[in-house]
Amino acid sequence: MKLLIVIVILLGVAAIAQAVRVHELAKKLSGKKEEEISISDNNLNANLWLVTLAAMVISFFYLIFRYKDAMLPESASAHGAEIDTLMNFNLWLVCTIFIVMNILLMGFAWKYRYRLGEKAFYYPHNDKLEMIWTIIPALTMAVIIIYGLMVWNDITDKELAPDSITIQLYGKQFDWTVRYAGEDRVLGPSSFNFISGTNPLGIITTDIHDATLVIIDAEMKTLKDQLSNEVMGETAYEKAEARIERLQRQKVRVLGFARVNEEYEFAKDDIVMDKGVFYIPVNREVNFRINSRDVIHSAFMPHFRMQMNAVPGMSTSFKMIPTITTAEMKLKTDNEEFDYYLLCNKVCGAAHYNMKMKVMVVEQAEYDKWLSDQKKFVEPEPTETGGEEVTQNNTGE
Amino acid sequence: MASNAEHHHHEESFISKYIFSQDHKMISKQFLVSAILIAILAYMLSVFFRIQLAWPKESFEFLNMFLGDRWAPGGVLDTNAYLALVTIHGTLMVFFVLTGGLSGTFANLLIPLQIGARDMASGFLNMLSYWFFFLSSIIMISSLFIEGGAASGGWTVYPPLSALPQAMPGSGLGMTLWLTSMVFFIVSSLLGGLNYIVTIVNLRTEGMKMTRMPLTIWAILMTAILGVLSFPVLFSAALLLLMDRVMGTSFYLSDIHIAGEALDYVGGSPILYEHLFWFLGHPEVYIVLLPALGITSEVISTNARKPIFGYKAMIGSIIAIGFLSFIVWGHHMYVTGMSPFLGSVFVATTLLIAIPSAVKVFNYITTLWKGNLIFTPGMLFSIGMVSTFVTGGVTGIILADSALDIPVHDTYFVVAHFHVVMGMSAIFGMFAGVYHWFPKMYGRMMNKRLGMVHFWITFICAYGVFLPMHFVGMAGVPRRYYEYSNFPMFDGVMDLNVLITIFAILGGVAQVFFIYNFFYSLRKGQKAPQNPWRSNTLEWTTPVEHIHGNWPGKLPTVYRWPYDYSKPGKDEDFVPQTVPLADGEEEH
Repeated sequence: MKLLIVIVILLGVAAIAQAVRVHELAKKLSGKKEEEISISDNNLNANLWLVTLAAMVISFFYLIFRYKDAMLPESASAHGAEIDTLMNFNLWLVCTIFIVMNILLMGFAWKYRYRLGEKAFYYPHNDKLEMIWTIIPALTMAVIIIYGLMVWNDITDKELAPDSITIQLYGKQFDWTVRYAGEDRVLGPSSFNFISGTNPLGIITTDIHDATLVIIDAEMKTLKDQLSNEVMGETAYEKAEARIERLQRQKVRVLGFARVNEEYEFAKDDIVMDKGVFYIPVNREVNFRINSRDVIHSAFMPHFRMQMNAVPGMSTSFKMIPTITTAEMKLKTDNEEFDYYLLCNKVCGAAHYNMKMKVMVVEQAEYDKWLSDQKKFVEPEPTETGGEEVTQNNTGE
Repeated sequence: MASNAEHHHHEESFISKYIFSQDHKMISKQFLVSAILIAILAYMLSVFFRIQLAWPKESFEFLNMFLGDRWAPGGVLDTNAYLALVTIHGTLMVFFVLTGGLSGTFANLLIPLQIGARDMASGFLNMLSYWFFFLSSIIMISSLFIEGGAASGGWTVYPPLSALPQAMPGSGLGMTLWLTSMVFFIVSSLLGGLNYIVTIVNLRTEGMKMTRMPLTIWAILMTAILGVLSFPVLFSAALLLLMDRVMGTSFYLSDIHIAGEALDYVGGSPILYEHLFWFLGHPEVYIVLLPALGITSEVISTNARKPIFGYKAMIGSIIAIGFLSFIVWGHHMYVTGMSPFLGSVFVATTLLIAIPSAVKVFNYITTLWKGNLIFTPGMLFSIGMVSTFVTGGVTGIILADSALDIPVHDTYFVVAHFHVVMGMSAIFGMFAGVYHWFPKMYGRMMNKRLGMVHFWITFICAYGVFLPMHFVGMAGVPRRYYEYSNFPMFDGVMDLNVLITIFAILGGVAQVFFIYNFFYSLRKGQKAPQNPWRSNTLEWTTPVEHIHGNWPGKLPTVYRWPYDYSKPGKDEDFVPQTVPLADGEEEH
């Protein structure tokens, strides 16, 4: 294989070399010059413009014909339909410009090829003409801008419907976690300082506040013991020291949060989902609050025409109303396997291409039932085993 | 300074003539040859990852042969290596080939020759500019060979991904080298840019009014101004990123929990980096594009044997594009959480760019109208460039519209858009320039037939790659994915990935025609005549054999604009700029 490739490349180069040499010799004999393009060559190139143009337009229409179903798959959200109408309007315009301009360009290239003994038309400028083709694009752009911004303002309108559901989409390398606000419809406060294996979103409650301090102190103690008792390599020593410093600073930040705060109550009925699927009800406004704990991710749901970056250190949001349930979409696409997905669309590392979560759009009743089956972040009655860890029994199963 | 050097020949050593040369013509050749070599490498990288996209996880022995066991174990590209290849392909092409290579080659060659100067204002700075460029490209390329691999966060290297070595292997030493390389690159670009501006403003020969300058020079002038104003911003962005990486500052980082621990960064914002990056990043698009537009204006006019239509409108649109390019960067950030109102402002400013761009396209087409077109390879590439400029430009109308950006942001639609409008257009402009000015650079002609074959295969492959790619993007397929088998919803367009890769490989093979033609003609090409394309501009009045100071004796005097082709009442179909106006003749 290796050898074959090398041989093919070498042969290719050699073949070109020989062809050129023959060509050069022939040219020297006939006295032709490189800078002079013969009429036959020139006509050939002119005709090739026409052939290429035809090939291009035909393949373009073929692609449209062949892939029109795959392009912008049917939108499954209310604003998605608006976007699609705008998109179709713009696409018509854009495709027309693309085809007309290329026809003019390549058509002229074909038509006005060099003709012996003729002179080109000396036509340096025409102010009127130039004014026309400044004003026409300007007007077209004005229409596009105004129409586009009308749709944009609609989509980004901050006002929420009274019955809207708040759902947090939380990105980390390389999966999504979803949190429902619960009955109080408010997400409890959270901070990256409180993240642990059992609390992937860093939600804060008084118990977690205590537990976090215990964990930090325990790790600091272990590390300090290691430093004083064990023989360590220089790098390991420095690493442990740096870790202790970071833990100390984390502790200071944790202490900056009140141990008791009435806002922590909001967290108790939150529902955290990290099992690769989440449900939303059809025809009801969902307000996504989007966060990340490590690098920038992007919450992308192609069918809902929804995309918003997840940026560490800040919250972003996007609201939408899903209009077609998963079951309906399975019928529409005639595909039993069909599912909506939440993707990550901002490169976030090696497994970026694998970061996804299934989205189930269901009827309100089914949604309510599903939701009531999920465990709340803090169950109302204490469970048998006791201790602060067990009160958060929503994860780690 | 070179301007008063006259033409006293003195013997030069090999080193001062070919290596540390201060002669603009030699520096131009150095840039060109470096750019060709870098472009070959960058193209190969893209073929490697295109193969993974077309035939995911299939084993190809030659991948292993080129990339070794760590990057392509068993002939299958590694996921981290995939991202590294994507990143370095983009970085090399955008900065090193299309910024450094394109501007470096043609600004250096054409500014003194077309405005009638003995050399650049400062030959020494010009030499430094090339050697900083050389150094930075060596650093960038060497980052491909280190432990952990090259930077892998995409050519935009957004933090925190690029700031935290924990986030991916490429964010370790590879990223440090990326930033170091960019610092040198920016120094090179600034030294070059300042030199170009100073030379154009100060060293024009007698009679070379601003309104008599060829459009190439206008385009290069605007390019240099854009570079000088925007590259320092990238410099600061890179500097702050470097400080976040090594000194523990929090310019771009906040609230991060990664690799099992909470980090100390508080108060920064990755969005700040995006603003700074795109404040350069968007003008950068025009830094790449404008020289190509300048070159094609010149080549099309010459080979259509017709003045460029609307010379003043062309200048006006260059200036308008240059100005507008500074106030549109936010259109890269509609879905970052930037204020929607700010987004709407950027929608309006971005779509305004369509107006000067449309004027340019109409003017090109009118220049062809009733022309007498001679299809030299340079002319073919110039018309090809106008075609890709139109095709890529119109999809920009969709991406500029914030509402429409939501479904196609960061999909292959974007990849197709910028490759056509920026990549293809600029590289076609560069090819046009090389074919057109090769006789001036090397005193020999390139083989025209090979040039034609090269053009047609390249042009067809360019569309073969990027036309279908728009459809892949419209299906919502995200970019920078290693493979798509997890997403059955994209199955409908995956066969296009195979088609695209095949055209990409064919297009790569077609470049053999160019590379062979270039290096063969360099030594053995037919000797160039004084003015092979019967052109009006000043560079064709210099001797074919290069001399220091460009013109023996006095500098030429300019009496007219450069586009007097097929002027009525003249015997020849061209009138060089050095020919005085006849009695009663109007300039244009």
